[in-house]
Amino acid sequence: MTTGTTANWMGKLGWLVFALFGAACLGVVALQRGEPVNAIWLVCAAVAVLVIGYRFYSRFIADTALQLDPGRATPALRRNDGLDFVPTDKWVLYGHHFAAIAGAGPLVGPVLAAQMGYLPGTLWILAGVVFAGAVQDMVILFCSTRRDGRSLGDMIRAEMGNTAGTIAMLGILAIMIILLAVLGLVVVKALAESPWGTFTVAATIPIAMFMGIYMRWLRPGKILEASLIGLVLLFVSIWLGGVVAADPDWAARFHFDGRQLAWMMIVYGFVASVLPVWFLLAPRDYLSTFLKIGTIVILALAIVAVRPDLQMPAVTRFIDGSGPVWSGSLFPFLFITIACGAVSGFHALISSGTTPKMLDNEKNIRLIGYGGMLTEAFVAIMALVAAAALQPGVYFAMNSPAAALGGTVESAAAAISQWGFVITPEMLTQTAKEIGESTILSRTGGAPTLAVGMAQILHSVISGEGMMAFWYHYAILFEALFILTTIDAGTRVGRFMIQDLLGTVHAPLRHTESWTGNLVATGLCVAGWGWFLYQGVVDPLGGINTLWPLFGIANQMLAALALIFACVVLIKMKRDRYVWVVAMPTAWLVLCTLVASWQKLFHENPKIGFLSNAKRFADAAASGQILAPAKSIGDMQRVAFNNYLDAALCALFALVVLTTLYFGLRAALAARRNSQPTALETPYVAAASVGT
Amino acid sequence: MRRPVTLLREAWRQLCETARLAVGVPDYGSYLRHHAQAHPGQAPLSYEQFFADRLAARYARGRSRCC
Repeated sequence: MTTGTTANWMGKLGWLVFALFGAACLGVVALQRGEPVNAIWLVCAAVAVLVIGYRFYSRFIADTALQLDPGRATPALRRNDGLDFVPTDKWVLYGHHFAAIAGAGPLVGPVLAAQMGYLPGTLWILAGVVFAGAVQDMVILFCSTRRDGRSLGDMIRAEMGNTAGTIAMLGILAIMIILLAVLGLVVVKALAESPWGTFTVAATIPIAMFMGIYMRWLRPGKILEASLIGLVLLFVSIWLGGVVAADPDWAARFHFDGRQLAWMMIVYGFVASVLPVWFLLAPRDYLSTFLKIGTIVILALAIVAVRPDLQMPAVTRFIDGSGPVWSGSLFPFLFITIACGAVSGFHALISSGTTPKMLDNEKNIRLIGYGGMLTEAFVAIMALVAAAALQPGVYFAMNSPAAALGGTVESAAAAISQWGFVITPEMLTQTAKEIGESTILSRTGGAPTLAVGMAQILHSVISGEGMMAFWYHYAILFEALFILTTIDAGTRVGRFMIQDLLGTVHAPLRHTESWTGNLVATGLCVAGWGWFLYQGVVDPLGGINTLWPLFGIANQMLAALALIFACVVLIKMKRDRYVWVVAMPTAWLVLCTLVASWQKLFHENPKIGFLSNAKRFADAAASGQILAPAKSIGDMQRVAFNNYLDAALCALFALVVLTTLYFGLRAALAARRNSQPTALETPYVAAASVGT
Repeated sequence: MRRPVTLLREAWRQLCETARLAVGVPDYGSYLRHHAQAHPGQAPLSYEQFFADRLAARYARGRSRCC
């Protein structure tokens, strides 16, 4: 035997051993019953699945299905301008891409999904990312790289026709509005009745403004210095928040209920997105990006160091759809609840944004597109671990709506114990005291739960008097910070989209320099998400119950759109043999979004179906009855109207999927009738012929 | 074999480049090299101008951020 083949055999043997190790870990996670499983098994199983998926499946996609060509010049090589188009080292670009795709989604979704136990969420994240999410990101990055880094909307228009492109644009605007509303709701829920949290998050506004002035006037362009100063000030503000919360006078000034916070958020969103970017948005974006990456790394290290036991059962009784956190059965709603982390349509926008303009070699599409998404899935797994490591009683106390728990720790403990998760009122009071809050009941939205989970894990590493409360508010700040950044950046994106749409009616409104156009479009965008946000805040079921599924459906709808487009491109390239790589996740996402939309529309259970809930309130109002939390017939009619509106939005999402499917099939059939490849790639240029 | 100090310095440089690009500011050195080669004789942007230009570009048409 030659040394080459020996090494080859050794390599294969190594992978076999690794695969067996992964299978053993997964076996422990899936099959152990009765006693708690240690989180390290779950982490090892996840790492094994992700690594094997990367090594084998992504390689197959890269070499065989897409046939990445290292000899083909990328847009960065052909159009190098030192600014937008820059050939970039693959690891540096990996960092850029990951920072752009990682957000609040993979942290919140898995926490909410934990109500069904840790196993369903884990399996979906792992299978979803390997066969759907990472495939989508990689294929879209490939398509955009072959088309000069053009955006998803543009590419759909070019390959599938103008109508399909316009429908996709409409879908993207709708998802934007719902995303901003639901993220705003997460922050409102985290800060309501919490002077400490509210103070620290409010403090980020002057801190960011100071950084903005520093980077523009005092020391222009010094990102590292400004960010370090900002970071120190953030830590000071967390400490100061504790002082504020302890002082009755000051605490009262930062004590707000959900409605007040929702209004503040709406006003803030409007003001922040018309201010110059260097003043508030950019500096806070820097701060939140670095804090996000840093916290993810710290959390990973802490989980490995602490190795907590998973207190949540592998599977809870709530897989039947009767759970208090969100309603609906495992299929399709688990696959909607965990969107980001398994497969996220939003990534298709990032993969066709700045990343393709900076690739130095086509073969790096595998690492950046596929590998970047695997890392996001790992973040989702860590969020799931943090939530499942909590006592289930605490988890359900935090995530169930007030309507299910009653107003006191006694009623909450009684309700939760009745669901089969033992908890005493003292434990609930004690947990609230430890994290420096007045109560932990009904702190829905995922962020506070993750914060308590993270605080408990980090507290095991760095403990001490009051450290638990510090870590809790650190985690709240970390989440709120990048959600606020998303809100004003997102409002800006929405504004430009609306200006484009308005421009088709009245051309001058399109000019981005026009103050009228700016204010009108920003106002419309803020009013759009503000409406849903406020509705979520006053919702009897806690809002997350209504808005998160809508967001999930929207995000998966966008993924379905991107994947339908990917199928069309592969067929146009005459790669029909490999179209199953994208057709398989497409079919699954179309199925999930359509079934979920159908159930959200027509399910007879008013907790699930918008129309039956609307009817319930409308009928009661007609017969003069008043159902909680409505206090008047006017309130009742408003609840009914909001449910009709949610239903309309849901129907719109389903319609967008169906029409795109139609245009996709049409384009695919036309391509099959043609004997030549018809994909509209930029012409081949050899990498060797372009200087760098 | 390179000296450990050189390796560390190289790693730090790469880390800074990654951090800057993560917030949308590409490598200034690459820009200067590209500019000198493609537009000889013209003055390149100063780092401050380059930074302001990239900041404006990052949010110019609004930037898609992930959930």
